[in-house]
Amino acid sequence: MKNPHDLPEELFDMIAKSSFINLDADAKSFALSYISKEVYDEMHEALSIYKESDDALMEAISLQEDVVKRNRFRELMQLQVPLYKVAAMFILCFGLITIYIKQTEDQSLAVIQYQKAEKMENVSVQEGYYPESLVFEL
Amino acid sequence: MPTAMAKEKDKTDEELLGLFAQSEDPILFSEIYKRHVRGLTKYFIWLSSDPNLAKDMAQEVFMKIYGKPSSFDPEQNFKVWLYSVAGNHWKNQIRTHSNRIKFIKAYKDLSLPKIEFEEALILSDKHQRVQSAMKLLTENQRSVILLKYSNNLTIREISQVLDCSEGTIKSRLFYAILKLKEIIYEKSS
Repeated sequence: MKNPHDLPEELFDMIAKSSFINLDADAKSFALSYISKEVYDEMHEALSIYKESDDALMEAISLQEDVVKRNRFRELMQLQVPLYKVAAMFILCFGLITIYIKQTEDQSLAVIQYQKAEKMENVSVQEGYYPESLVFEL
Repeated sequence: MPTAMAKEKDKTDEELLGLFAQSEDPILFSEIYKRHVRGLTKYFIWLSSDPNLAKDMAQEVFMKIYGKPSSFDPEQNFKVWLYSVAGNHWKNQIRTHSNRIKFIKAYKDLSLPKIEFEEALILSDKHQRVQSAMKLLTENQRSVILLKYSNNLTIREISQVLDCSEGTIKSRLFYAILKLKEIIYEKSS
């Protein structure tokens, strides 16, 4: 038998997987070049018992995922948003609101001016007819 | 987010821990945890014969990693590192009350999956027989069997975990298996 220091890893894997009798001819001669058949079988038997117990142990351990109820408020409070993003959003919203107000004001002013001009010229704008004076007034 | 989860599942342990060290994203950590906690718990059950202690110790090892992911070198093999941390943890079992409270709190905050046991299997006569035989091996012999055949580490990886030559590991493994056989035989006769 060779010094256990020099046994190849494949031999240890082989011993764990298969009994000597179930090895093919090449594997048998490979194993016999390091250890005897008796030692091989003894080691295989010990590992079979161990592996069986180890597999059962693995089956006995399971992971149970918690069904975590989401606390939206807590999540929101824990949300960390950088200050520059908050500032940028504020400036953007402020800008959009200002533009909207300005546009609404302009439209209302145009309607008032148009009604005023109609009164002054004593005409009413009908479809396709825009008196020059009224257009000029507007 | 199924796509994001699928992405995590495709990553190696080393990549996940490297990313977790940068982003501290709990999803990344949870993926590593799910992959290894059962194997690690099993490792501690074999060492301690106490499922509840094993569960605590596995969680503590993960909390250690969670607290200091940057101590992992992404060039290293994660499993080698994990079982080195676990081995050291086993040696210097953290027993102080304050540390334990800290770990339990951190663990709860993370809401990681709970470890459950089917006690009948752990307490079965068959398993107890092997467990008590394992107890009669030396610490070094037990470790090599566990790392090789329970946690599927290679001889090279085991030599890195236990910090000794591959030849020594092979020799320990060889004699450990034969001794285990002898003890199991003696006990059954």
